[in-house]
Amino acid sequence: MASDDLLSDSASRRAFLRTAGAGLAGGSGVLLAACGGSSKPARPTVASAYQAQVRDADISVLNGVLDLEHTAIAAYTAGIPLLTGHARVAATWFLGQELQHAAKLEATITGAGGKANPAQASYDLGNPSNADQVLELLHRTETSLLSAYLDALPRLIPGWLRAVAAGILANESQHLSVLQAAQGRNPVPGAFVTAHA
Amino acid sequence: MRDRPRPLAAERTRRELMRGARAPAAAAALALAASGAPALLAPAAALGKSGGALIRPVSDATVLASVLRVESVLVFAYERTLTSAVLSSAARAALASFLDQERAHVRRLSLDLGALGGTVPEPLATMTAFESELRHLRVKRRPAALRTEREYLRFLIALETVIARHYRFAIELLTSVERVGTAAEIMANEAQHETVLRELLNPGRIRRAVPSAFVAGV
Repeated sequence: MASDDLLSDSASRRAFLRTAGAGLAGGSGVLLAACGGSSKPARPTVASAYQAQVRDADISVLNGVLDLEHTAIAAYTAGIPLLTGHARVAATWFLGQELQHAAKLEATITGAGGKANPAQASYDLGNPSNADQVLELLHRTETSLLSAYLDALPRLIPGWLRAVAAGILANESQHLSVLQAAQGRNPVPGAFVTAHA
Repeated sequence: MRDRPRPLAAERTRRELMRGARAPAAAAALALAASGAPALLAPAAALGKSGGALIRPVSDATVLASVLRVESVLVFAYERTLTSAVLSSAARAALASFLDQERAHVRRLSLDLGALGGTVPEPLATMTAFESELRHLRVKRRPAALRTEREYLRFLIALETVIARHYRFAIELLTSVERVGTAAEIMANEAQHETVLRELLNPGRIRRAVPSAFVAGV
């Protein structure tokens, strides 16, 4: 990634942790967790400690956004055949990212001992019949997802869960931006991405 | 301001959890500090040992001060870039809008930090101060070396990547429901900036514009 070439984030983390680690005996697992550079999976050594913090209420919140991720996957799957050109390429790419979000949420829920909500057999997506209507459907879907994540985020108690949700929320906001541009709208209309974005 | 119900009970529970499970919070504090947030280096370095567990989650004021410092870097970067004569009209229009939005973030965060009794950092006023902050943030590219629009765009993308990471850590650390919500709204906006900048750099290449399903490497 071009921007990553400009950064030395992992190196700076390692350097800092080497310095800080001297006074942190007993916290090595946590230090490793904070060392999540690009070459290692995040928080490899303290997963069980993190999972232990997840409450039933958190799982319920995550299942709420997972339901909407399933809806988005259905909307993209149904709408892509009606799109052409750049919009079709973008929607196909976004579908792949929605699938990754759903997989991440499912893994998080089951990893915490919960049961992930399955996708429904069918979804009422209306009857879009052309590209403009599909873009409007996808815009509505992404707006609903944004709203759901913004509502869910502050209700998640473990900080790491909020971070996971924030990373997905930010990606959904990027989808929305691209869709808005494809519709001839301002791709970044406000300084704060709200539920009414 | 968004009108969101405030689940006080949930907030108390979160604080209790942070007190009872300090290691993850401290890990996030370390990660924020290690990501190059100068304002948090001191608290993170002060982390100590208590019964084998790390202690002292950082305060909301400390977290806000940290992201506010990075916002100041973004404001200075956009201001300086907009003085360049090499920008296309499309890029100039986008960047001018983003500068306005970064300033809005600064105003909002300053209000929140002030309400907590924190000291609002002074805006960056000199290139020397700007370059010093860039070194703290581990941004390798030097602004004085930027010549072309593509180089400016890459520089701004790097800064947007840095600030997204800071907001990710901030969201992990903040304890107030409102402040978590605000940070999420701003992080989402910064992610949109990154996408538009990447599109300006790589027109029509969606995989470059939205490269990852998880912004800030979550």
